[in-house]
Amino acid sequence: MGITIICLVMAILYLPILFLVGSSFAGGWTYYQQLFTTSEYMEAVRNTLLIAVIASLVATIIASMAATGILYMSKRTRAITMAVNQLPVINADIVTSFGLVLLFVSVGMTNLGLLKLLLAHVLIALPFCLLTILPKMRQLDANLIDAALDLGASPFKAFTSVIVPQLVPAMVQAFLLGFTLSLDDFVITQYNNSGVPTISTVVYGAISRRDIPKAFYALTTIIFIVILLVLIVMNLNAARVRKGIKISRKVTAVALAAVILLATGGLIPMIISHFTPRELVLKVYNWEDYIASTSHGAKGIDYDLLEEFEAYYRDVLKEKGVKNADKFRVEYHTFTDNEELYSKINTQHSDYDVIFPSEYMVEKMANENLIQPIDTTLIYNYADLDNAIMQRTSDFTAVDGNTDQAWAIPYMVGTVGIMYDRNVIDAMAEKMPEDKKKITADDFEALLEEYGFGVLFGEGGTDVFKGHITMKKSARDSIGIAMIYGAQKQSNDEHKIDDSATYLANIENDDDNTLLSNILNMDGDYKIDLANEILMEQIRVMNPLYENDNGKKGFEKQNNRYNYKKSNGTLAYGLYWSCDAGLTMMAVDEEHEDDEEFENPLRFYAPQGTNLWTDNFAIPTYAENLDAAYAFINFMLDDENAARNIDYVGSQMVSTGDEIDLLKASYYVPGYTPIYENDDEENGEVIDFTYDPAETDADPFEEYDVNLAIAVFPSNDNIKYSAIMHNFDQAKENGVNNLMLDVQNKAAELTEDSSSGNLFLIVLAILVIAAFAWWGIYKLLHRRPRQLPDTVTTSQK
Amino acid sequence: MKKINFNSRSLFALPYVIYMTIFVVIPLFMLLFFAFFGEGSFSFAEIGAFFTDGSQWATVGRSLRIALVASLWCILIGYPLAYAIAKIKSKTVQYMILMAVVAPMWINGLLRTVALKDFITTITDLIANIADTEIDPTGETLLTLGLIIDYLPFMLMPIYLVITGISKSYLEVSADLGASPFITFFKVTLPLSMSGIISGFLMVFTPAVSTYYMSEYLGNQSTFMIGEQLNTMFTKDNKSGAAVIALVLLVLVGVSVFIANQLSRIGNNKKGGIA
Repeated sequence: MGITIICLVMAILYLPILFLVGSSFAGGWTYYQQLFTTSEYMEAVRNTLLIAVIASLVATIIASMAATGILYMSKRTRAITMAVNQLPVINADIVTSFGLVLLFVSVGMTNLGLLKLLLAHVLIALPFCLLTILPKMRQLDANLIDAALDLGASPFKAFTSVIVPQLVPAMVQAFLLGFTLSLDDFVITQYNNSGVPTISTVVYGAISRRDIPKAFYALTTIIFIVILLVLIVMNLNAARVRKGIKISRKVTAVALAAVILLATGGLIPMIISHFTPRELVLKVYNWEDYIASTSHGAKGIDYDLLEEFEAYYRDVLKEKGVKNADKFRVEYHTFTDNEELYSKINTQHSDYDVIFPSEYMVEKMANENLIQPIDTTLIYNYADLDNAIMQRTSDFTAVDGNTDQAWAIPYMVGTVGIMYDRNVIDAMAEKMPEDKKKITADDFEALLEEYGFGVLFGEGGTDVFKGHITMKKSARDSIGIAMIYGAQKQSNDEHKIDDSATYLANIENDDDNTLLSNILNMDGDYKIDLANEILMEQIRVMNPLYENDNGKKGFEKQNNRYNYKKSNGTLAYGLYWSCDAGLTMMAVDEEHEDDEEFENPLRFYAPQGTNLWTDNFAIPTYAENLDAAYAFINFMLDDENAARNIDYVGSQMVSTGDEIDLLKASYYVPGYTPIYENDDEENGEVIDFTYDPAETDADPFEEYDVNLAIAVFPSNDNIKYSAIMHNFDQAKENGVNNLMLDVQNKAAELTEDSSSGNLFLIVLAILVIAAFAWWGIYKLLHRRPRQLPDTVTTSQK
Repeated sequence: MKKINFNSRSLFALPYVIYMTIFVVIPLFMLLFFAFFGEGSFSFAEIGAFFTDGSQWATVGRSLRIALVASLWCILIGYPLAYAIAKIKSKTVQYMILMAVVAPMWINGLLRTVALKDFITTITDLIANIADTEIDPTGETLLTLGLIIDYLPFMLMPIYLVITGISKSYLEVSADLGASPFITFFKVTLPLSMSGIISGFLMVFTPAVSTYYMSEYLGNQSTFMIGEQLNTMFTKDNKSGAAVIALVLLVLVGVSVFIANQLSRIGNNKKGGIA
């Protein structure tokens, strides 16, 4: 019975881990290789171990000293101390972490990096260490320390030579416990991290954009093997101890030395990197998975732009005669949203040289002097950058009174639109009951043309797709689009848009896009209440899935199943960034590369009058290697590098040139892979540039499959009739974010299925009541024999 | 003698006291400060906004329910497990099993959560392929499963410690007085291990009610929990709003500790509370 329970529970606990171990070998040793060759991963592993070892060591020492002191405290002080000790034990992680953040922010502790994480991790371990050591301390003979003191030892000497030796087993236990808790922690690390990559933060960053990096499965497997070894060794030791063989002091000393070596061994590279001259390091802070660099997790390509830049810039430095030019390297870290970037620059003053804020964040940082103007005369192809985009983005990049400067230069550019899956829409139309409107994919495309974003809100009978569409959890996107639709609706008095043409005409006649800008930014006549009304109504009518970034895998998944043709996906369409649409379509194409019959059912459509988003190069005020920063921006904007970057990231850059045209051409010809190394002339290959970016009217649509190109390269019209969402003041920003939280609360309230949980609680309550009742009846029945205990015991025995 | 040396010896606790004051006590006051003064001047605006929103209360209720269900499952699984382990004769085997239960914690919590989701989706994808349907495993059931798997060690440890701490003489006395093992369990072991169950319950309930990454990855939008809300406000730099949610969580945890203390007082008059 007991064995069965243990085995069963173990099976539940270990199945996911065994699965994880198994899949770490799915690619042979590739994941292991990845783990050890990707500098970001190794840095994360090293930091995590380092923090765990040092923090739990410090916590153990403080706790054992405290345990001594607490014994001599007055009863009341001791009670208070112990109560305070319980606070972090009982309190929710997230509350403790948030309190710590407030503390660090209030005292202005900036750029503490690793030290801050260490301080926070001591807090994770300390209360538990004390709880482990204190009981052992109580068992010690209090007279020992008195004796030592009476014999003339200093309190410190008495502590180290009398107490510590006796406490060693408890201290080892406390250390191990602290180490475990520190390794396990995610919340406190995430909240108090300032630019120190750890396992938690790297995994969190990676899964928020794509799949979990499998290299971490390899890491887990290694950790598990280590645990197994430790378990075996400990048990062998325990057995020996019981047999009377004491663990020799040497073993303990060796173990301790190993721990200290590990800690210092981890510190050395960090110290070295601290003393590397700053001109030999370029610190880049970019979005997750946003550059074609295989050493930073890019998959499916065989080039690495970061490594190429390192090689290129080493040569530049050598020419300049800089010492140790070969040591130059790029320190590349990633973030998952603008706010993370902002806090890193604003509160930590991190000395990144190039960062990639979005448009509104550029404005915010420029206002607060967190970024410095870029000298555009130093950007060699500045004049050649895509005119339409540069014009549109100039409302947030322009520096007052200086045309040779810009706050930022666009890196990636795209629109917000609707991605849809033709297969799913057709399949749903087929299955639609008679009394409901059948909308085929072709019908849907007509509706898209007619209503634009209205299809997300049920216009034109699209409410038959209720529960099969997605919106974004990101407040700016969902609310911006709700505002556009709301304005469309308002433009007609009767509150239905049979006449969206009027609205479009308004937008198109509006030369400087102030109308659209006002709508998107909730300025002038347009208030956030409109979005509130629209979004709350949308929950009722369309019941959308609010996806965060990692939710966008849905479309990819429903098309990458091996029998995708037979089974019906569940997502019909949804609000998408053009870059994500491009990425998803590429992923689906890649999966079906060998399948000649496969036709990608995913399409992207950006209605006219949409939101234009950009992620931009910017140089923080605290940057310390400006030369390298400019070289890096120039390197990335070079048309050849840009073309390769676009081909991986799946969204447009502002560079223009032959290579970009070549890439665009390649998108129209299925199965054609652009050749970058060779000039076209030498190659002798004649490429027909059917697509001229200047003339979107030259219609390549009929001849080639251009669906991907539509997603990756927004048309000139799309860019012309689009507006940028600006930075909001704190009140409006809070209003926007709170509205999205309200939407999530409301959506959860409406869709929540509490039946299983409630059923469980009810069944449990019935069981408890039954047990009490049974107990009561039992007592009642056995009342009699109880009065005659003697007879009962004898008779039953 | 002791009185004279009082100060110098309790000074050993000084680093600890300083550390705890700065990193535990002060942050709590900061929470209060930001909840009321976050807008620049004293106001009840943030707190008022929280208390007047119906959907907000639904979220609090949902978080409580999910955490409660997970904690009760942990008791239902953890108690028999702890009992079974404690009944094993060899101490070595006992420790081996305990270590095996705790060992997964050496893998980062987030990584384990992601692995669980990966595992479950692989299975459901397989089933979906065979049955030719679409299965989305995320939701309250998967979230509860994740919470149970993740926090079971926290339930197991206190119960195990209490059960092994029960003196054998009690059980012998009970047997001698004619009670069947079954009766002995319900009348001796279970009441005596109540304190372990309650402290285990708190160790599971608190992180479960405040989780955010678990509900983000294992749940879906119908399991929106209060921790997720705090996290969103925090990442959007709405410190006063986040402080209010943090205070609400603090009160929830405080109330559950209080109730648990009362329960353990009823269960065991001599011993005090947990916290």
